[in-house]
Amino acid sequence: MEAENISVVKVRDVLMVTVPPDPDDETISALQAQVLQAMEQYQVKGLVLDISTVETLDSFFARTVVETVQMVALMGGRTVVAGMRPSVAITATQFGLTLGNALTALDVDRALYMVSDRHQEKSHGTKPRA
Amino acid sequence: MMKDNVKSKGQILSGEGVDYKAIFQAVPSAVRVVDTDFNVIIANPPMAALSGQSLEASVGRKCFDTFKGERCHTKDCPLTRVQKTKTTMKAEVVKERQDGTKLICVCLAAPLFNREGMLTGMVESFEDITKQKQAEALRATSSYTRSLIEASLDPLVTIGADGKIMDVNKATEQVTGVSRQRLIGTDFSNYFTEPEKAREGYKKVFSEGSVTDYPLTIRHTSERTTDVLYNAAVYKDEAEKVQGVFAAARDITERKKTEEALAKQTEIIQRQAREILEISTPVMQVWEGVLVAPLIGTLDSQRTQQFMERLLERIVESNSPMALVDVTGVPTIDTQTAQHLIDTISAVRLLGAQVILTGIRPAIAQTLVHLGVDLSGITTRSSLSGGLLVAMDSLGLQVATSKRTNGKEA
Repeated sequence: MEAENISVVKVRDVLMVTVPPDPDDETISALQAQVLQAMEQYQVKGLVLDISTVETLDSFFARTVVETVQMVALMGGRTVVAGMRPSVAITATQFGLTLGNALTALDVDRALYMVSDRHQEKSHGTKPRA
Repeated sequence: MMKDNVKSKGQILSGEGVDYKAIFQAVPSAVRVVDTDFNVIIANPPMAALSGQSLEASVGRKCFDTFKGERCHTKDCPLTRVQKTKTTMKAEVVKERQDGTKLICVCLAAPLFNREGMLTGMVESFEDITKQKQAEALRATSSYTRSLIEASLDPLVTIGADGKIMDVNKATEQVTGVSRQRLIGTDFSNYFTEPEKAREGYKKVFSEGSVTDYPLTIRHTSERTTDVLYNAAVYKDEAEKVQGVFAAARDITERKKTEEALAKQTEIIQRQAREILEISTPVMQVWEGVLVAPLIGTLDSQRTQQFMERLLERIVESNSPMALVDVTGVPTIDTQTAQHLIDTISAVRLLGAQVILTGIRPAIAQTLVHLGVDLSGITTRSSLSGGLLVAMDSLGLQVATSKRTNGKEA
């Protein structure tokens, strides 16, 4: 039911995934399933996970994102998490939550560049190693 | 006939043929006659009324059996003194009636002599002044309490059940600017900025018996106002019937002023503290997409929080993927400060931006290595300019030396 809120749209060679403002565990699991299904269905370079409306980040969400990034990588795609709010970032840091090796971007625009651009690590994006 | 008349008058004046006993009986004061052995020879009816002992019972017995008194059997006893000095004397004595009640009397005692000039007895009269004494004492007490009430700096007032002022003290006159005569009998609630509230207040006293710290504002005739707290209670007569309200006001103008001043100061201090925090963590944009945040002073957890919030807000606001955090102004970095920095950098990364830590002086580099702080995942540079180059490079920007200025500067 909640899965209706998830939007997974293919734009050119990228999957645009928008996460609803306050996702529960079910929605997050459904999101992972939909993303992987779309990865199989379309020929894309990777996906942009837009979390700009998300106000809370719990450990389940963080872990699922990390897992999804790994799964998508296994299927040959690159994931960029875009638009995390400052308050969410602060809370996540305080609780010690990380997104592992997920790439992050300030907004969807930059994220799209990073997914398509093979040399993204030299341009706008960052790749957290910690 | 004339002569007879004159003669009888002369007889009366000389005391001849006068029925002293009749006069004795008619005197309104209590009078008795005792012999030199203090036996009561005769007493009049007022004496019986005063002592509470019948004439039959008292006559023939000792004088001190009629009354008991604190001076009986002492040399201060008026009769004893009259007997000794043979002169008239007056004294105030406390006597005890047969029923035990105390009487304060003025006792007038005079010696009685026979024709040979020998002392045969004494005559003693009593006047009961107990009531006068009590009234006097009451007056003294009430004038004492009155002066207490008048001396009070707090405005005091008594209000009747109808809400009219019954009594006031000087402080009330001063605070209202209205004289006592004009205050008494008028409505209590007239003298406040909020008459309704004042009325409610004294009604509450009647219904609940008392109120404490009831805030009201007294209005002076000159429109000057005084903030007060009222404490009031009902007062009752001897039969426990409520007579009215006794209300005491406490002037809190000074207290209010102090409180206001204190609140103002606290606000200033808080604002300054906030400002100092903000000033101490500036975040500036030096190039499109590049922010510089110089840190000055020690980093505690509160400042880290503040710094982190500002840096993240500014990154999102200016859409800058590069942030240079300069620690030149940080005196020392311990493990805790390093952890705070690492936390900040992690949070920035979650947003999708990158931090370059600049201003790592040799001393700080040494400390960090000795403490075993791992900053390997973070790009660090010794100077701000070095960091800026990294940021430019990362954004695909290059700084080229202009040909025109080349010759001059090189």
